[in-house]
Amino acid sequence: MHLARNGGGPLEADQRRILVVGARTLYLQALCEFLGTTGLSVSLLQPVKLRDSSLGPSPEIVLLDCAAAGVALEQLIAEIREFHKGALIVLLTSGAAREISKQAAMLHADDWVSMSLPVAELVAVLDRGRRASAARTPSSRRPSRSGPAIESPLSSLSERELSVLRLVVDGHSADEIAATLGISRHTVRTHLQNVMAKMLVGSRMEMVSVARKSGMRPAPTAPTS
Amino acid sequence: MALETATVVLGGGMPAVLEVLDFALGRRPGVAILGWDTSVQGTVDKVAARSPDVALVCADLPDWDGIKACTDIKRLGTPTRVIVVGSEGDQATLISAVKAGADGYVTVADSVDDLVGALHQVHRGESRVPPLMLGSLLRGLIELRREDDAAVERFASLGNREREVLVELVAGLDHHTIATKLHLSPHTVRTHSQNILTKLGVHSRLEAARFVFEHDLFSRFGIGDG
Repeated sequence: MHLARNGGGPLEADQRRILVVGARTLYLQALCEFLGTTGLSVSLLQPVKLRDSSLGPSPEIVLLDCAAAGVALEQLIAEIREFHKGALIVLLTSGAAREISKQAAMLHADDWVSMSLPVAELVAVLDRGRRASAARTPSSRRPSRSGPAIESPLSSLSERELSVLRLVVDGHSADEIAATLGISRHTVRTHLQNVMAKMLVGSRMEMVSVARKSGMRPAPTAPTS
Repeated sequence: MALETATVVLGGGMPAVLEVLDFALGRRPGVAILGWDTSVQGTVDKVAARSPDVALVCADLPDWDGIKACTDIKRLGTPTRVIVVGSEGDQATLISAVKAGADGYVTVADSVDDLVGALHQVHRGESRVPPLMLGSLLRGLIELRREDDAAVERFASLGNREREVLVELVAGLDHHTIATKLHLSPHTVRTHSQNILTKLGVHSRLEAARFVFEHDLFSRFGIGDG
């Protein structure tokens, strides 16, 4: 699937290809026309046609509309990973920032951008995505966004909440956490309830899962490799 | 044949959506965008101030009530026509749009050129509904009409005394207060109110109130408190 650079000459390498995937044709077509004027090569694809697109050159970035009607996002992302290896996946969303960041982390998307921001912001994210794509390593697949508009699911947590969460991710029980931090079991429970509310998760399993997908690792004594 | 240019104001909750629509529509011949706004009130104000031929309002975006925008624009009483953009196959929104006075309906699955066609169509005074949704729209409207007829019929089956009690129930009075006001025993009021709920086919006085207001029954039966 590495067709982008197989002998197309310097022009081919210069081609900035963005594939927009989604069913909201009206908005996405208008978006493609707009992006087309910024020097990008943009094409629009219905989610159901994703399989057919694998024959063409792989895009640098796939902009995936979260309002993709009728098809599960997870499945779409899996298909994009399969057919367009190496492409950055950017979610195009219209929801609230915290909900989005959680969704993006859960789905292992590389970045996200909201339609509720001005379109210049959207172009900036795609630019950043292109730069990231150029310097991409296999382990760099996580949300790279650090702008003020959209935050990581963990960014609203206090220091104390983060340390409690880290210990949970590390596999400690509430009693152990209480002992480690020198607080009561009841306080640990309260912290975790607040953490779950802030992260918009419904269970501890989901909390740990989202935390890990947001980049939190068990506090190791030795670095993992 | 040269198209007459349709002037347009856009309204919707997402800046990026409006910006790209502004761009894509603005570059097509026969369309001139007069402005856009991300708030319902702002959109209505712009329509009032700039008198576009067509107002395009999105009804598929979160935290934004496109149907209210449509209603408010139509209330201005100006000749501006309204096109509502809704989700594909979203029959409920289509019916709400038609009830709110929309002249056209476009789904997000349509292309930009479909939208341009719709703009010109409603500008010429025609109505525009996606052909595939027309059947379900008509069925939906007929269904609404049937429900309405049934509601009227049920209300008509209430006796005079029951109607009096219903007015007080809907106003939120308790059984004792109603009894005093209408010179009845609380027991009789309770019997009346049980019969009212049964006849209207609802399960609570709250539901009864919703039923009455949804079908505008008091004013249609000449029962007014003013």
